[in-house]
Amino acid sequence: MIEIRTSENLPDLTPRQEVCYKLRVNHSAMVALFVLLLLITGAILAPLIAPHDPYEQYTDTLLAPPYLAADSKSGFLLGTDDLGRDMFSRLLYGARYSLFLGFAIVVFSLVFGVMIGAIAGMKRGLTETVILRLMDIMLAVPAILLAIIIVAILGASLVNAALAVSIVLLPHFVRITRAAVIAEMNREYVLASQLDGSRGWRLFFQTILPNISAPLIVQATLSFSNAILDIAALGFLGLGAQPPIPEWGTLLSSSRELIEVAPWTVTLPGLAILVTVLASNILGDGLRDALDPKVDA
Amino acid sequence: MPGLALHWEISDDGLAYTFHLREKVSFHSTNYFTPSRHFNADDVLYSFNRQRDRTSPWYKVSGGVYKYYNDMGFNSLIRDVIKLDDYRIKIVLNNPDSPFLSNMAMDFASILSKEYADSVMQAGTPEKLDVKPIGTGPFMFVKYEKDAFIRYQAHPRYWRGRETLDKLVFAITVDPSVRYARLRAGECQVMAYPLPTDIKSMKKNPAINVDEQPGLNTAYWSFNIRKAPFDQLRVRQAMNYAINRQAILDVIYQGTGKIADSILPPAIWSWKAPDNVYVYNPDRAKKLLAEAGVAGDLEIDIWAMPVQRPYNPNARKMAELIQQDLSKVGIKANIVTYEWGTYLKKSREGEHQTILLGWTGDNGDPDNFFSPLLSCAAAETGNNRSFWCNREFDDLIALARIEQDQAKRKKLYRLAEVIFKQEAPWVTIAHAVRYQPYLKNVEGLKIDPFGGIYFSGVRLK
Amino acid sequence: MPQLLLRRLLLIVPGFLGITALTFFLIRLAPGDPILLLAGEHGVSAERYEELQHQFGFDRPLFIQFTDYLWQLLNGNLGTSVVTQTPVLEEFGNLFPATLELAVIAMIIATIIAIPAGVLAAVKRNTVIDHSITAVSLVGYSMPIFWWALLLILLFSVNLGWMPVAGRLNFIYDIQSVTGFMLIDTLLAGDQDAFFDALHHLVLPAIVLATIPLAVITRMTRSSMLEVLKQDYIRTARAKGLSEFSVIFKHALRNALIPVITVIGLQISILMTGAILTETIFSWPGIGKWILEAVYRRDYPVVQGGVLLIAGLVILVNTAVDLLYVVINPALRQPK
Repeated sequence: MIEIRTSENLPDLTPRQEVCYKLRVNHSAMVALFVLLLLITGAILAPLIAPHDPYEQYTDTLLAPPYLAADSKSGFLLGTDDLGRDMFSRLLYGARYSLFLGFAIVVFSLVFGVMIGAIAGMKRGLTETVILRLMDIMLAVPAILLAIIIVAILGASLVNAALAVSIVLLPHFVRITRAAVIAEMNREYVLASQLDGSRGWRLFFQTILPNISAPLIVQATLSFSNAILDIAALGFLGLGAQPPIPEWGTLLSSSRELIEVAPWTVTLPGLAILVTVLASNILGDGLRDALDPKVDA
Repeated sequence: MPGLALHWEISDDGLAYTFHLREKVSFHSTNYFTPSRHFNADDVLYSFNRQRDRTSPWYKVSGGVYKYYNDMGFNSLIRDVIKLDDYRIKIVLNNPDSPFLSNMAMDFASILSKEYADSVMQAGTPEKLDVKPIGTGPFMFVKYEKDAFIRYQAHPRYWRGRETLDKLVFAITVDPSVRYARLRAGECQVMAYPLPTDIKSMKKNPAINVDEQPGLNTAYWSFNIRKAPFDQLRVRQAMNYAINRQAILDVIYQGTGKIADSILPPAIWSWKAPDNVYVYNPDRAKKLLAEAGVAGDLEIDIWAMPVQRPYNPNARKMAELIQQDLSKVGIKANIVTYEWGTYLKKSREGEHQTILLGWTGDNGDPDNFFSPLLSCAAAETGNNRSFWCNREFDDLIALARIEQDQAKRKKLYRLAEVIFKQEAPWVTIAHAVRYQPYLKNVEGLKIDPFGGIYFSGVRLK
Repeated sequence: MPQLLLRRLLLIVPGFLGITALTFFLIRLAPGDPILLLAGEHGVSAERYEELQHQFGFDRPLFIQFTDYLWQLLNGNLGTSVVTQTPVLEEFGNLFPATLELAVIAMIIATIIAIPAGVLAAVKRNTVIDHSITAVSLVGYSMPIFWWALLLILLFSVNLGWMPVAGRLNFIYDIQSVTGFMLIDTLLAGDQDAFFDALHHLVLPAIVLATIPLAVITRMTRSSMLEVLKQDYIRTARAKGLSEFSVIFKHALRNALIPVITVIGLQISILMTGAILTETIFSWPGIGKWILEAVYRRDYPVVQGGVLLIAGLVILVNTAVDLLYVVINPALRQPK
């Protein structure tokens, strides 16, 4: 069920300006945005910033503690892992996997979810029922479990894990789009453009989509954080990225037994996941408040 | 060492073994079985025939696969098992075999109760033989819960006398750091397979003793010679030069253990430091690869087991080290892993290209390393993960099996080893040290050099 | 009302059918020969292979196989584990109480903390208290719980030694399994020490499993409370001079709880996801760990049957919650 309240516009602001304004005065959302931008910059510039090759094994400095630790003089800012690889460089390169994959997954589910949802919303009838039932089924299987099964079938790899997570996130987009399309179809502007002779997809892309972008943006931001969490969980279970890829969940799983000897190999990747997920959740909340769509999906 | 067999005679031609059995040995009496008679020759006959006789209804009960029985060559070695009287049994061999007595001491040759077998067969539940076992040992089975525990109780009529330990529980704990935490918390008293990274902290802990013993094991990296490019000798040799085993020893084994240059661990009597060893030399590896015509765009799979083994504390990490070494000679390596059972099965079927694996000696005889791992027969069963079958090598180890003279056997194994090194079906990686941590209130614990722990004779202070 | 009940129950049928089809065909899509997979570690001979192929009906068209499978399901046969040779339903029955016990304790923890916290945040809106509660629940909501579990183990089990590391009960206790619920079984056995030991083992995994529901319920309670506090009847109640306590707890909370109860019910899916991770880390012998191991072991009958059972459970609970929602909220007694 979707309603977009547009009545409370400040008189001299366009809707876009209003959103920007609301977002800008939301301090926590701005901080979250800043953190995310910082992470993205770090990930993109990883080859330039990283002090070491993330795969290079310095076998004479195994498990060096972080630089801040009292007994450290190793020169590895965040210490090394049990194969003597620089943790900072690995985390930085890991950000590339987590962020890029999170982004790719959201784009994938968004595009396919919107298409399927639009078909359901515009065609109605049997097509709609079948699509909705299928989505219900997918929602009934716990997300990680569904992802695990998909990975079990396709084989454990980063790409397959990403594919699995995108499939898991798909139903939300389908339901939002469908509900929005049905709501929009009855509005005057759509009826008007239908009289104009524009039909089907053209109608959808030109008139409906711009008007339902708000809930989709909010859902996309929240899906981004879910995607990062799920990818990390699959990595942790050994079903996602395979070593030596420094994806954060994989880093956690391969350091699990070192938690006592070298706690930083466990705490740092987890912290990286938490900060990223937290930042995108805060931003998602901020966007929701600013865009103010009533999303029920 | 005599157990159920009091003593034995070997015929002059080395073909017939007559075992005299101990009398008045009681089987376990539990809530699911009460024996009516003592152990006798019928039980021995039954225990062999269920693995030997393909027509026996028992042959299929345990899946029809007696891996050890076959890997030790018993299926082709044993011609006949004959009951002479209630306490004498004669085993006739097809050919003389030096390791035979050592092999007879292994777990697969344990004696089961024929009376129990008959009773479960009659009840229509023959599979109970495997899941609710009855034997003659110091502890008897009480309860098993999958992934949780196995409970045992002292066997009150054990022929060596009842154990002081009344109850014995194996708390199945897969994660080694959890095992250590449980030991420290006093939840359990003895811990299996500690992580090398934890040894230092264990030794510092005043409540914990750590015994150690040179392990009777070898970790190796095996190449499936049925798959390109490992059908090429030069490629296999190149691998031997490309791998920095010292780094592996430092990182994975935390500097404990020894670099393996031989198939055999130094604790085996026939071991002698080999002369022709591979020394880390990436340039030489590159040259060999170029000569083999595979330099440039070679991509290979390394299978690494998901579990910790006595010979290899962390195969996946080891694979990452190897991967890095290989990248330096221009090879891209992918690490592949499966759940342990699947891993063993798939590799037995030869699905792998290269695989990390290892072996712990079962009985201290050198043949126990050569025949099961590298013979042509083992290439057929798949236990020879290289599927490497070299006639010359095979003949030498077959001769060594028959030979009774230790010095001559030693020489034969040395010759075999030269061929093995030259043909390079493996990279021999390391021999791990066996560590045994336990709480200080445990007394009388003995490490079984063949892999397990002896709980017989253990007391709690 | 009965009509609605019937409608909802009828909707379950296509749901179950769909899930059955999904798991069945997904697993048939898996690369690898199902017979070799089913044969397990020992492999099979060529003649036995054909025998098995016939026995399992793999030589027949896929659709026929599917209807056969459905027929088996209707007869209550979910197949047999390849690894343990135990019927899937029996294994599920043995392990499910462990998961349920953990989940119930987790939900109790989550609810008794979350509802007061949410109410407090709403009442003290825009104060430091509200901001802290909101911030903490946001962190909880964003928590990778597998990492959180490791941190708690490191602190409470390893460093402080206050908590057991894993499992449901210390091995010195040998408790006869009657109900499968350790807390109940230890009481039935009359062993007080074992009961407290079982409780002790529950603490950390239950906290980990409770984390995300806790955050979600707190957020929901807060926003639902805020919504209710704006309503006219609350203003009226205040105007009548009722005490603030009575306004909040007698009038506001009662109405605010309606959507909260729904949210609590809908946590089942999150709990099942959490159970997979939590049980794996704490070696908790429940269905989450069971199904994950079945995936690792390629024990497809268990994966197939297990997913079906879990999904069926989720559908049932969700339907029950839907109905409950209608019962407590008469305004909604119209079919959608």
